Amino acid sequence: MAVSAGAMQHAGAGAHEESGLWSWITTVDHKRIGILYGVSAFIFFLLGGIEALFIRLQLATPDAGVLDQDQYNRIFTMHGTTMIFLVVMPLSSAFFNLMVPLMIGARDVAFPRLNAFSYWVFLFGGLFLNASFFTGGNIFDGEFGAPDGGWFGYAPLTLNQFSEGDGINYWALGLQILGIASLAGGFNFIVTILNMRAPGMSLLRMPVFVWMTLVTSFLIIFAMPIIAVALFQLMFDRLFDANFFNPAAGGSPLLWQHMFWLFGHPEVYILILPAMGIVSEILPVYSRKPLFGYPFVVFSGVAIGFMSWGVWAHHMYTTGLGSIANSAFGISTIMIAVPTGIKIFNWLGTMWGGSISFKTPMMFALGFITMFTIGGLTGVTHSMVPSDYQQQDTYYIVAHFHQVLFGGAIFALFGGAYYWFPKFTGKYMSETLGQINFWLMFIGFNLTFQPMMILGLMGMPRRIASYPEDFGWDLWNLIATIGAFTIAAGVLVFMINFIISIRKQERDAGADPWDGRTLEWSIPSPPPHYNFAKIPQVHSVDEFWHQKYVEDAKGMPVRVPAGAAIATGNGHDGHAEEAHDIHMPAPSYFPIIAALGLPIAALGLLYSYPLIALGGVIGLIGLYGWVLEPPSGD
Amino acid sequence: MLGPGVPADSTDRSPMSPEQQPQRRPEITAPSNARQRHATSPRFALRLMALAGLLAVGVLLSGCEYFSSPQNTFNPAGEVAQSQKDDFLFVMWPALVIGVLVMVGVVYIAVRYRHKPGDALPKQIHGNTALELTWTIIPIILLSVIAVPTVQGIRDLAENPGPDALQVQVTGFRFSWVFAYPEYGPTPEEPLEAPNVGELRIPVGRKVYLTINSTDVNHSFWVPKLAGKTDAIPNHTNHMWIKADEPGEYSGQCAEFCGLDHFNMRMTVIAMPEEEFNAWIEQQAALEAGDDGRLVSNGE
Repeated sequence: MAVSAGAMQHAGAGAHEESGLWSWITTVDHKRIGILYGVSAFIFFLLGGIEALFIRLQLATPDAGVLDQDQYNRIFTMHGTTMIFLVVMPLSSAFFNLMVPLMIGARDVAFPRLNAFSYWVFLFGGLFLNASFFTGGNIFDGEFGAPDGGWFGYAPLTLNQFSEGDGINYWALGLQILGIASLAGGFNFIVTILNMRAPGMSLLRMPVFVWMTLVTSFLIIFAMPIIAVALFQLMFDRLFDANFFNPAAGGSPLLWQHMFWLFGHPEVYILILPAMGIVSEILPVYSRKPLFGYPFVVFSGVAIGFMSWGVWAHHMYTTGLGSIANSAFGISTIMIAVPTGIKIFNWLGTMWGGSISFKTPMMFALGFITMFTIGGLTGVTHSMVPSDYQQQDTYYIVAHFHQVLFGGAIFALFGGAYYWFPKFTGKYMSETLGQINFWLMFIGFNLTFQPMMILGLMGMPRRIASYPEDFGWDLWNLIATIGAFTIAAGVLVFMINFIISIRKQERDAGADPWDGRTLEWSIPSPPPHYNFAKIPQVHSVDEFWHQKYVEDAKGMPVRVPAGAAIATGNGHDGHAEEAHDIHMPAPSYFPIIAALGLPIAALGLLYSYPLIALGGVIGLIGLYGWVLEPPSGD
Repeated sequence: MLGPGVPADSTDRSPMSPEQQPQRRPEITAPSNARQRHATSPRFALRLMALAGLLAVGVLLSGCEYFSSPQNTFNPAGEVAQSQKDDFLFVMWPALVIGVLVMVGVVYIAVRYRHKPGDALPKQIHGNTALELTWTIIPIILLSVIAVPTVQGIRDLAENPGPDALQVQVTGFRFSWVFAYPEYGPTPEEPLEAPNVGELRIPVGRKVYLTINSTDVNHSFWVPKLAGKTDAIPNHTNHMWIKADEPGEYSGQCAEFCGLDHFNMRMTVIAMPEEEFNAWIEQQAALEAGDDGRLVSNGE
């Protein structure tokens, strides 16, 4: 088995030897695109993290002068926007790209060039958004041009009357560009998951991560158009003097809030469902048990997806929607806790009776469960509408959603990075540094965000650039700042670990380092270009585990003798197709050209209309080349 | 045991009965020092968590000064804020208990079921429908209980307190507040404006009905010790009522991000004994009328 896998890898290497910048620019390989997504999003993560540290430095002491209020407003806007659109979403996309084809036994996604297009559009959108920093004058004098309306961009504050300069324009157009990337990715993964599963992999045999990818992709394709409409209206108000949100002309500020949160609350689940999927993969492997209640975990995820459309106005309790609306959204907010709770109990059930080893990915998964539980329970307190009138827009909310998005999503994404690193490199990441990384981040996280809960209850509102000395908020803010720098130290350890591990010479991890359960562990590490020499035949959930073990009458696993694996249809045991018979899509530079048209057209909208035409022409050239290009160059 | 460099079961390829497995397993575990670290790490984590817990409790108990704030929602000075604190605690205590149970559960399971050298693979339990239905239905029941005070509280706070209440018009603008008393102006359309921007005077023990608007962007009226917030939105009138139980000055600030000086958009509510308030407002009305060059109408 090992020999034939090695031979396959060799054959694969021959077909995929290109390296260097050009090969990355033209790649349509889902694994490489996943790596591009991951690395780019991590760099944005560092950027957003530095912004967070500036926020925490400014708030460490009362009346601090690290930033003035203008700089502060711009930096917290960019922190939120960056972390949501440029970090957690694309990091999830990185894992969709890396893992989904491998987990469903496919050789690539359904539309490889569209996939490359998604990535490049995302990258250009992110760069476009951040370019706004340079539009405010001399950036080295601290004259930032970044948007200053908050990540939620509430009109009418984001109209020209109240926010001069191009910051909000960059924000609105940047998010439009990023939305195109998300939409293309969403459609791509829906088609991939529905159409490209290996034979035998029925929907209820898919790994939970693939399920959560599917639900997330559906949320993306329905949520993104809503924000697109809202952003178009805002853009028309700002650039062409329309009056959708201008109260002086009878526009409705509440319209923006409804549209933003009708997008914004499903967005929260777009951020957290992939993380739940990752945790649902990690826990069984390190507990050496199958996921407890697979159908419950899957269907609670689907239920969350549906219910996420019915809770948006809990962001708007204080806007005066009336008693009926507040009651309805209060109750729907109560009920979305049910499927979330199911997941937590099922994860505990997975660990119960297991044989748990505490590798770094498992530690991050445990960190996820504990911190996400706090996030979920504080979420339940928001359903108590009358008391939420007090907590709305305070640091209690800041604490709550960081419990979910950092203690939840980011922990799971780090866990996923440690878990799947050996698959793509053939090497382990350092376990010692991994544990240091986890504990620094876990302790730092609690130091940062638990005090914020107290601050919120003590009446500290969000988004204030400074606070007076005699309000009793000093100590907790100082602790939070110390915590933030502890997190930063943890991230630094991660980077060191990553660099050391990737430069390591020996490939010691092998194809299946964790005794994994899903198909990605059945192929060599790193996987060959074409992933599966022979498309596997799937017989059950946790297909690869069942190729290795059978259960006896008492439910105890028994190793399958190595030779018997052939009978189960494992693709690497003799029946493999010849590698040169496998047709893989050829590299293409048209996706990046098509993508390049978008930021150029957006710049044209702001500075010079002829540039719009130029962007359009470039985009069209890209699309035409793409359409007329032969599907396979080999 | 899964140790770096020792792929699980990589040497264990021969067919074997389950009885044999326990004897064979130790041969393929990682070196003993790694085993040691592994076996103790959950206990270490447990101690660390206990220590952190003690430390947290210590900090919490080490003096209430760390929790006193002129805007503390846990130190209400009015009926609305009091009911909101009660509502919060109604959810917070059960949530805290459930949270602690889950944390203890995670640590307990982690310690009890940690991998020990020589362990066979555990029984492959795929789920238990009865158990899963139980932990679906019980939360539904528990959570439904929350719905009752939620709806009740929403209705109570949305009530119009009627003609006994003092009427106040609140107008948010970048970056302060104007307060006006329609009952004390020459006509309701020309309300009596409070003299100091950002300062609202109200009588103690009487409900005050606020009519809230904005002239520019969204703001939010919030005096935490008296009541939760209500947004001030242009083209959209909101209402809320407040009531102060004790005379005093109550600090508040805008709670909806409104731009550059949002952080400094503060307000003070001064609650005065009823007679003092009446005297003050009569005086203001007289001054206003005098300034306008008009006579104070009889009875005002």
